[in-house]
Order: sequence, then C-alpha cells, then structure tokens
Amino acid sequence: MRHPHNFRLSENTPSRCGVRSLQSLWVLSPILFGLTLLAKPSPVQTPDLAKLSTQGQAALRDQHFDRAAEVYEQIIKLDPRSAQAHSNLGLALYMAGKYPRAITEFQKALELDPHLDHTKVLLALSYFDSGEIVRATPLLEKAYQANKDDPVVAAHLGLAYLRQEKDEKALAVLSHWVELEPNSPDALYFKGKAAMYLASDSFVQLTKAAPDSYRMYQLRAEMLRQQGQGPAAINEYKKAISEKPDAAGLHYALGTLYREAGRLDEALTEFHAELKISPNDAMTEFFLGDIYLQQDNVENAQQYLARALAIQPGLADAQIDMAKTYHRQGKIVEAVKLLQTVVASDPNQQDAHYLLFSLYKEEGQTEQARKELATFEELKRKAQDQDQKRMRVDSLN
Amino acid sequence: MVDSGKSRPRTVIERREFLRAMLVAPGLIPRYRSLQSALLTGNRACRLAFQASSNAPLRELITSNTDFFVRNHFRTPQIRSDSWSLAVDGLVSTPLKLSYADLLLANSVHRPSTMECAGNVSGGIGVGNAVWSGVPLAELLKQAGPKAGATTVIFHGADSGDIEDAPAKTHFARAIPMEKATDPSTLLAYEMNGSPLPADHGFPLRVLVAGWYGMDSVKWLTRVELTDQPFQGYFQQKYYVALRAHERRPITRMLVNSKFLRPSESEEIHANLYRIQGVAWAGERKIAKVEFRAGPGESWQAATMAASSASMTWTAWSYDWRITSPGKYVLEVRATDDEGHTQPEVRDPDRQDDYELNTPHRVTVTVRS
Repeated sequence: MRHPHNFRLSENTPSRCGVRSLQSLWVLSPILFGLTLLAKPSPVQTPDLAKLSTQGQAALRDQHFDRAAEVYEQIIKLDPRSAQAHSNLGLALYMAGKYPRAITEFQKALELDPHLDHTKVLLALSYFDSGEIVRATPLLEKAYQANKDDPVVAAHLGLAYLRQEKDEKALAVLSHWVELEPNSPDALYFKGKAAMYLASDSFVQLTKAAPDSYRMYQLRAEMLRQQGQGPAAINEYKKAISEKPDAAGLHYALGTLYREAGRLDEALTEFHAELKISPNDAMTEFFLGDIYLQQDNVENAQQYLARALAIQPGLADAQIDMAKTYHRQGKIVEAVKLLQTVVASDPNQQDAHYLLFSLYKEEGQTEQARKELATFEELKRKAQDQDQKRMRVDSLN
Repeated sequence: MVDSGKSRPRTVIERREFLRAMLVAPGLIPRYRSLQSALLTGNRACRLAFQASSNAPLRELITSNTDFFVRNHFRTPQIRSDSWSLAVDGLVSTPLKLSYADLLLANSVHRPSTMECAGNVSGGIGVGNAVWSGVPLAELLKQAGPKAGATTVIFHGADSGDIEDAPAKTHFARAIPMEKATDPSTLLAYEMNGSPLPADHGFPLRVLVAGWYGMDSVKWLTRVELTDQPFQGYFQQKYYVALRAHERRPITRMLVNSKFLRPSESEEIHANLYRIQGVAWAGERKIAKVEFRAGPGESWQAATMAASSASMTWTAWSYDWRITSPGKYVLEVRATDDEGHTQPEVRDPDRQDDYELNTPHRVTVTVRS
C-alpha cells in the first residue's frame, strides 16, 4: 500500500487521480474505509456465493483488483440482482483504472439499491477520474453534504470546481479540506492555487473596469516592484498618489521604495505624508525612526520610535532601533535593559542577542558578552538548519 | 475601509516571496501572463503633479544589508560558526587557528567602506557602502609573525565548485600584496552595518580590502596563507585581468566613478527646480569634484558635495537643476579624483575585458509641464 503522502491529485489531468490516489487513500477516507463493509457477503447466500464472496473480499483487501473483478463477475452471474455485488465489481474495476466499466456497474448497483451511499461517491469519483467533471460535480456535492469530514470528497469536489473555474466555490471547499488536513501539502497547494486564480481574475477585472484608478496604478507598482523594477514602480506609485492623494498606504509604499533606493529624504517626505493620512500607524512611525537613525539624527529617531512603541509596544524592530539610539547616546544601561526586555519576550530574537553581545563587549563584560554570543550562535545555527530543511523541500518540489 | 496593505518588514518579504511564487506557479502562468501584459503595456496618460520633495542634502548613505549587491562565484556555503575556524599559516612563525568567538571577542574596529564589483556597469547596482566591523588583518599577521620573504597573502574562501578547465572542486581564492594586507584599512570583517554578516555576504567572516574591487574581499574566509611566491590560483590568473593587445594587468584599485540616486532611469519629473542627487567614489583616493550636465551637448556644471570627501567611502553630491522646458533629457554625471583622474567619456576601445567600467552614468528622464 502506498504511503498516503505519495498520492497525487492533479487539477488538470483527472485520469491521473484514479488508481494511485485511491490506493493510497484506501485507509484514509472514511468512505473508502467503509467500502470494506460493502465487500461483506449478503445475508442470505448459497454456499457457492458465500465462498465467492469471501474470495472477492480477500482479493479486494489484497489489492488484486483484476482477480476481484473476475470473482464478482461470477457472483453476478449467480446473483444478478445483488446491488452490492455490482458495486464491488465497480470498485474492483475502478481500482484497476477501468472507469467506463466501473461507471456502468455503479449505475447498475444504484438502480438496484438507490440507498448505497458509498456507491454514489464511487460513481462520482469514477466520473471525475474519467474526465466527466460536470457529471461528477452534483454527485460530489451531495456526497460532500453527507460526508463533510471526508477529505477525499472535499478534495475531489474542490478540484472539480477548480477545473470548471468556479474558483470561489473551490476556495471554500479546499479551505475546508485544509481544516480537515491542516498539514497536507496537497490541500495547502490547491487551496493556494484557488486563491491565486481568484486574485488573478479579480485583477484582470480591475484592468478592464478601472484602468486609470489608483488601485490599478498601485497594483502595477507592486508587480513592477516584485520584478525588481524599483524606478518604474516609483513612477506608478506617484501616479496612484496623483489619482488619490489621501489613499492610505500609497505614501507608505513609495516611502519604502525610496528607502530601499537610498533616497532617504524622499522616503522621509513620503512617510510623513502617510502619517497625515494614517496618524496611528506603528510601521510608518518605525520607518521614520529608522531613517532618522540611519541619518544619525538620534533625537528625531527616538521621537518616532517612541511613537511606534506607544502604538505597538512589542514591535521588536523598533525596540532594537531604540536600543541603538541609546547606544549612540552612550546610555548603555538603558540600551541593555531594553534589549533584555526584547529577549525576555522573544528569546529567539537573534538581532537583540547580537546587539547585547556587542554592548557587553564594549563595556568589557566579557563573560556576559560570551554568553550572548553563544546564544546568538545557537539561534543562528537553528535558523540555518531550518533554512536548509526548507531548501531541501524546495528542491523536491 | 481602506486597506493600506501594510505589514511588518519581514512580512513584506514573505509577501514578496509569495508573489514571486504566484508569478511562476505553472498552472497560473497562462492566466496571469495576460494580466501582466495588461498591466505593463498599458499606455496611460500621466496626470501627476508630483513635486520633488526635500531640499535637504543627502547625509549618511549606507546601503542596507538586504540591498547590498551580491556577486558570488559559487553557491553560498552554509557555514555554522560553531564548527568553523580560521587558519593563519604559511610563512609565519606561529600559525594561528581562531574560532568565531576568538575573533568577535578581540578588539575590533568599524570602517565605512564602499565596495564595488569589478564588472559593475556605469550606474549599476554592483556598488554599495556599508560600515564594516572586524579585526585589522595587520594585527593577526603580527600575532602570527610573518617570516622574512613573505610577500603575498592568499585568502581562501569556503565556496567551491566545478569549473571548466579547472581542477574539480576548485575553491575561490585571491591574493593581495603584503603591503596592502598590512594596511590598517584591510579588515577581517564579521559585521556589516551593525549586524553579523548575512550568509550571502560571507558569514561568518570575510576580508575587506578597502578601496580595491570587491573580488579581493574574499567571503566565507577559512584560511589566510602567507607565501613568497606570486599566487597562481585559478581566479587570480583567469579572472579579473585588464586586457589590451599587448598588456595584461591585474585588476586591483577601484577607479573613480559616480552615479545618480535621484532621479531614476525613466523617471517623470514635474518641477521647474529639481534636486539631482547621487554618490561618487574613487577607492583609495578622494573625490575632487563631481560634474553634472543635462545632455551631451550641454556644458558640465559643478555639483555640490555634501561633505568633504574621504578615501575608501563614497561621497554624496547634489545639483539643483533649473529646468527651462519640458521634454526628454539624458542626464550625465562624472567625477574626478584627487589625482586628477576623470571618468572617461567613452570606454577605451582597446580594452578586451569587461572590468573597470567607469564611463559617466546616464539616465533618461521626461520633464512634464
């Protein structure tokens, strides 16, 4: 049996979802787990039927699906009106990747017994895997309503919606799949994909509906920035601001671009403009403080960092910058005290430990410095280990 | 409610990574490509009335660690400081082996210094200015005791890989003369702008050969070797050589150069008076003057330097440009160092290499009424 994490779902090539996915999901899905019940012999059976039924169950259990199909065909010859036998034959065929024949058998089973809920799900999955997404969808919807805790049903319904570009519905169902399996890479991947499709469509609509709006310029600026075209992004932000000078966030974004480009005075202008629009924004206050600190204007830096911390007391970057201002003023005790507060609330703050090391070293407190350096090295090592783990995952994807 | 889209700096980075992923997600490209096309090719009228902001001079101009250029020869090695050490050996009386803590707890100095990639194009991003902290190499060499005859100091990095016509797993190494190695400006740096060196910038330790092109400031340093022979390493012989028909000269000292910080390429300007700003540098030499002109046919005008120029670090300059009419302009800047070297108008046509590119930086801007 395949490990569950090996199972593959593909939005665009449903046929690939079939055997591989179901084999691996055999033990995961409550519905498919329930299929073993289907393989039970009928209550009233002749000795021959009972024997065949036992053989069929064993073949299914052992994943000898061709053999199982032969056995259930024999059972159906002896008992053509057995809904369960048709359903089990359909299951064997489905697992062998013979979807059209599986669909026929599931349909016969449901004609004989419309209450076989598991068979309805299997019929839906067969439609899905044979590419008949439109037929699969209503059956999956019913199955989803009846079996909300089944990740397989949620996954297939979500992907069925995605294939039909019903992205909002897809996102809702795939989000539920993530709730059922919070660490599933497949669930997280497809939920993300649905969200991206929605975003993409919304942005395309924006280009059509409001091509000269400030949001359009803002979006274009963000994309240009993402592509590393900072100067072009600056132009777009300026256009956005021209369209809507009082929009929150535009001056801030432009300020961060100027800051990255080393145009600090212009960055200051933009952040100050932002503060007029968003007077209680901790990040804007922080960036102002940070730039004044870069410019060695300690007094101004402290003023804005203090405001940032009044709004957001736990803003570690502002606390660290404030400690740097104390350091520049020679107020080592205050700097150390503040940094100790930072590491007390977040012992993993590498930067704060490193700064503490520097301050202790400067003060000649070698033992304390050594201790902080050791802590920094340990945190750095852990971060490097995590980065390497992530890089390994990235290279696998 | 208006969503400003603000977030903390680290979150901004995460968001960037996510967006990058968005753009490369295989299934999304066809749908997103149309969006990108719609966004980037649209010809929209600009109705901007943006005025140039502050008239204050540029002050401290430090390139942040995240914005500092990265130019590596191999993949960035992931080095753990607790299993790393630095060897100082070769022609020395007392070979040294130093741990990360040994170096960080030693007496340190802080030096602002401009670093430029030898292949940086005019106005390119391959230049930055940071405050580097570390131990002067001269002090370590003094401890190790160079033997008589030691003329060359080789820096060995931990980065390695396979290159055509080089031995397998060749590692990066460069050498400088003893005289430069013992200059007080040459550091073994473990800190950049007050933070430990980022991995891409050489954590845990790199050399800072101030005033020389960046390739000699070897990253991920593991060994400092003294020798009495010219270094024959692959990267010393094959790369970083100025070539003319009958000349082969190693690239070492940075040449005089300058760039605009403001405006950027293709920037639209809506003002009658615009403060042009930028930086100029000349490695071991100082900047004597910076000149600006608003087009090839115009005369050069003296720009104002923000402070007296110092060697090793760049100098901020500005020029208040009085604009007489709208239109498209090609702005140019050039600098001259204190030995009288001015950035050349054109690249020496005899040069057969791509280093020391220091023709004037030119940006095209559009002035609108």
